Amino acid sequence: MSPLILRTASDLLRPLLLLFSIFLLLRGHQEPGGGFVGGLIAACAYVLHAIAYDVAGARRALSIDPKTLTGTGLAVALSSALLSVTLGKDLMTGVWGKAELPFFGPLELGTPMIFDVGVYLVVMGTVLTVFLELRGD
Amino acid sequence: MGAWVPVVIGVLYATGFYLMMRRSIVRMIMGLVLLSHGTNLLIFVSGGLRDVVPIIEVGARAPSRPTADPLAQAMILTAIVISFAVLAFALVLAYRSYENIGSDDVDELRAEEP
Amino acid sequence: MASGKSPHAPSWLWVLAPFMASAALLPSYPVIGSGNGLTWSAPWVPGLGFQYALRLDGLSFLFAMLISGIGLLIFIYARTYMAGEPGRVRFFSWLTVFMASMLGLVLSDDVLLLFVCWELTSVSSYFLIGHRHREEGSRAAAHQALMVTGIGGLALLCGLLILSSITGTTRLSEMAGAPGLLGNPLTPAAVVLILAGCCTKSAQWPFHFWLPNAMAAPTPVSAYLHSSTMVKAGVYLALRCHPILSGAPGWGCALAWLGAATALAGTVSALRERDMKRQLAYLTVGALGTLMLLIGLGSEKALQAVVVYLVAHALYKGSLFMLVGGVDHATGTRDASELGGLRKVMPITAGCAMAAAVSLAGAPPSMGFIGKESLLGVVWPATPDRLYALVAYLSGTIMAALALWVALRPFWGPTGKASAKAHESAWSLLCGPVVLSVGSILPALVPGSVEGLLSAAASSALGRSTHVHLSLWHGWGPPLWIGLAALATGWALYGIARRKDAPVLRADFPGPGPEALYTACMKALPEAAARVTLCTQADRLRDAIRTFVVVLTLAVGGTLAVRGPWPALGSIAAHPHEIWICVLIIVTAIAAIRLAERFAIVAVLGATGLGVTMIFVLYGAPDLAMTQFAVETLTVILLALVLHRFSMLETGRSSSGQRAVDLFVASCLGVLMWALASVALHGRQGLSASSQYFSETSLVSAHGRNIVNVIIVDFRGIDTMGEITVLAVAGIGVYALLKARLPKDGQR
Repeated sequence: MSPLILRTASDLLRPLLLLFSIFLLLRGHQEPGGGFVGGLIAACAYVLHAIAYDVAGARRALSIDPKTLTGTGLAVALSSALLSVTLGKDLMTGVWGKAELPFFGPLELGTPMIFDVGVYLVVMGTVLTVFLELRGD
Repeated sequence: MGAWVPVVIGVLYATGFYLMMRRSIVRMIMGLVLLSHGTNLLIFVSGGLRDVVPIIEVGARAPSRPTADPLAQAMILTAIVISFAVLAFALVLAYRSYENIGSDDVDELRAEEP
Repeated sequence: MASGKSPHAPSWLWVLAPFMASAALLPSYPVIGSGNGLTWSAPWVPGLGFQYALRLDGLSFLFAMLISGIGLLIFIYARTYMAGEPGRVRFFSWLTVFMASMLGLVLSDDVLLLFVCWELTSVSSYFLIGHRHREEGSRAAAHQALMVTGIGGLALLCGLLILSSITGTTRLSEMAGAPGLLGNPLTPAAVVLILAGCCTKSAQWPFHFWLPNAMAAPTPVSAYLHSSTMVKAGVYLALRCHPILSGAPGWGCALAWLGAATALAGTVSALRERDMKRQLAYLTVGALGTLMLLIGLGSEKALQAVVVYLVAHALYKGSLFMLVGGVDHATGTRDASELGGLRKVMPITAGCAMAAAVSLAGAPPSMGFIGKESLLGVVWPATPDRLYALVAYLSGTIMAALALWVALRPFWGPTGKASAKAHESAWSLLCGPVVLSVGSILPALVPGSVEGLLSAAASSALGRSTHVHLSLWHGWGPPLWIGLAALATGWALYGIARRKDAPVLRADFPGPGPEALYTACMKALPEAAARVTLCTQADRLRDAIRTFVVVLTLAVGGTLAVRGPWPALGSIAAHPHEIWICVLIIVTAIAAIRLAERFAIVAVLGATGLGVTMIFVLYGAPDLAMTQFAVETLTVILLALVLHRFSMLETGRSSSGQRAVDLFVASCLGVLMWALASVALHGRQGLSASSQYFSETSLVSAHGRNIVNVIIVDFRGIDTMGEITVLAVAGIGVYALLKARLPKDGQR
C-alpha cells in the first residue's frame, strides 16, 4: 500500500498539530489545555511523520534529539521553580508580571506558565524517545 | 447514572486483574491498561459526578455553581500520562525478554532465571 | 619538602586537620575550666524540634582534646607508617572523616545529631578496618565491627528517641532532671536501648569480640580508633547520660555488672593471644569494662576515678599501639616471643614502651597508678562493692603481667630471630609514642597541670561541681596493698609466660563464646530469610498477584461489611447515551479477556479508552478527555508497534480449572471495587475542603481560571515536578532497554 495519502496528510497535519499544541499549552492556564496535553499532541505530530515516512525523516524534521527535549524540559521546569527562591520567596511561589501586547491586549505571564512549558517539553521528549527508539530499533 | 459508573469500575478491575493473572506477558500488560482506567475512574467518582467544568467564568472571581472536583481531575491527568509511560516501559521490557527467551510465557521466563 | 617529588609531600596537608581542630579548641579552655559551657545551634528539622546543637562543656572538651591531640600525633605517625601502601588518599580521607564525626559526637547536644555522628564513626571505622580490602580477614573484621556497632547504633537511636519523647526535648543538656522521667514506664526500655548502644560501641561483654578482630586494621587505626577514641564513645555517652539516667532503675547496677564482666573477660582473654596488638586490644576491652564499672557505681569519687583512668588509658594505650606498630614495621612480626634484645637497636622505642608499660601496669609514678589507686579507693571502702575489688585485683594482675611482656620481652634478653635486621624507627614514628609516654608519667609528677581539665570533665559527668585531686600518695591502706599485690602477682604471671615463652592460656580457652553465637546468627539469618521469602512470596508472579487480590478483597471487603457504610445504589435512570457509554466499556473490557487475536485486543482496548474519555466529557473534565484521547491514540500505536514483533500471543494457557478460579477471584474483587466506588460516589456530597480552597483561590492568587491546570502547575507544582521526573526516567529506561543489548549465548 502506498502511503501517499498518509504522507500528504502528515505533511499538512504536522504544522497544524504543532500549532494546535502550542495553542493548547498557552491557553491552558485559563481554558482547557496545558502542558501535558500540548506535549502529547506535539509528539503525535512527529509520531505521525515517523509512521508516514520513517524514523530518520522524523528525526530530521524534529532536528533535535528527543532526549535533549526531555532534559531541557526538566531544566526549564526546575528553573521556573527556583526563580521564586532567588527572589527570596518559598520554592515554586508563582511570580507574575503583566505585559501589554499589540493586537492581543494585556497578557499575564508567570512562572507557572514557564513551568507548564517545561512539562510540555518533558512529555513531548519522553513520548518521542519511546516511539522513535521503538520504530528505529 | 450514579448506579452505572461504579459497575463500570468493578468490571474494569475484575477484567484487569483477571488478565494480570494470565501466563502471557502481553495479556498481563493489557490488564495493566484496564486497571489504570479503573483506578482513574475510581478517583474520578470519589470527587463526585457533576457536569460543571471546573473553569471560572470570565469576570467571576470563583465558580458560581458547584463544579466537578478539580483536585481529582488534576491527579488523574498526571496519572494518565504516567501510566502511559509505565505501559511503554513494561511493553519494551516484555519485548526484550521475549527477544531473549523467544516466548511471552511468564513460566518460561521463570525457567530462565539463574 | 624541597624536592617536591617526595611521596609524602601532599600528606602533610592531612596533618593540618587535627592541628587546626586542636588549635580551634584550645582558646576555649579558660571558659570551660571555669565550669561554664559554650553552646551553638542552628535549626535543622524545626518541625520535629531537631537542631544542629553543639555544646562544649568539661566532658566534651576533655574528649575533644583527646581526639584532636592524639589525632595530630596519629596523623604524623600514619604519614610515615602508610607510606608506600596503596590507597593512602582513601585512608587519610576516612581518618579525617572519622576525626570530624568523633568531634561531632562529643560536641553534639542534640540526640539526632549525636546519633548521626555516632553512625558516621561506625562507618568510617568500617572503611578503616577494611582498608586492606584485598585481605579476607580485613573484610570479615570490618563487616563484623560494622554489624555489631551498627545494630547497637539502631538500639541507641530508639533509646534516645524514647528519652526525648519522655522529656519533651531533644537537647541532652536539658534532659537532666526532667520531671516524670524516672517514673515513666518507658524509661527502663530507654535505659536498656542506650546501654545496648554504649556496650556495643565500647566493646563490652558479650559484644567485645569485634574489637580484637578489628586489629586487622593498619596500626594507626588501632591506636586511634580502637584504643584511644572511638571505643570510648560508649563510655562518653554513658557519662553524658549519667546525670539524666543515674536515678533510673537498673542503670547503675547493669553498668557495674557488665563492666565487671567485661574487665574480667577482656583481661583473661588477653592471656590467650600471641599477637601483641590483640593482647593490647583485649586489655583495652578490660579497661573499658573497668570504666563502665566505675560509671555504674556512680559516686562522686567514682566519676573522678573514671576521668583519671580514661585519660591514663588513652595515653599509654595509644603509645603502646604505635610502638608495637613501629616494631612490626622494623621486624615484620608482632609476636613478642620471636623478638628480643631490641633495646640495643631501638633504644627510644624501648624507653617509651617502658614508660607506657609502667602506666599500663599501674605502677608508680604514673597516671595509670593514680587511676588504679582511685579505682581501688572507690570499690574497697563500700562493703557491697568489695567483689569489684577482686575484679580490679585480677584485671590489674593481668595488665601488669602483659605490660611486662610487651615492654620487656621484645627489648631485653638475647637477640630474637626476627630482631636481626631491626632498626630504630624514624622520628615521625616516634614522636607520637614519646609525647604520649611522657604524658603517661609527667602529669602524675606535676598533678596541677591537668587537674583543672579533669575536674571540669568530672563535674559535667556528675552534674555538679567537683574537684579532681591527683596524688601519687593516697596513704597506707587496703587500696595500696591490693595495688601492690596485683603488681607482685603480675610479675609472677610474667615469669610463667616467660618460662613457657608462649601465651599463658591455651588459644581455645574457654571454648565457644559470644563470637561463635554471632557467627552462627550471621549464618542462620540469610537462611532464615530465604525460607521466609519462599513461604510468603510465591515463586510465580501471577500467584503473588492472586494472593494479593484475595487478601485485598477479604481485608477491605471484610472491613466494609463489618464497619459499613453499605454502598448506596444510586439512581439507575440516565440518558440513553450515558448508558450506552457504560455498556461500551463493559463489553469491550470483557471482550479483551475473551479475544485471542492480539490486534483485536488492541482495537477493543482502544474502544475501552474512548469510552472512558467520553465519561470524562460527560462529567465536566475536558482536560482529562483531551489528555485521555491523545494518550489513547498513542497507546494504540504503541501496542501495535510492539505487538507486531511478537510472533505469538500465548504459548501456554492455564488449565480451565485455574482459569475458573482466577475468574472467580477477579469477580469478587470487581464486586468489592463496585462497592467501594459506590461508597465513594455517594459518601460525600460537595467538594472536599482542599478542592474548595483551590477553586476559590485559583484566580485570585494564582491568576488562572482553569482550576485543574492551576493545581497542576502551581498549587501542587512540586508533585508535578516529581511526576515529570518519573516520566523522563521511564523514557530513559525505555531507551536504555532498547540500546543495551544483552550478550546472547556468547554471541555479539
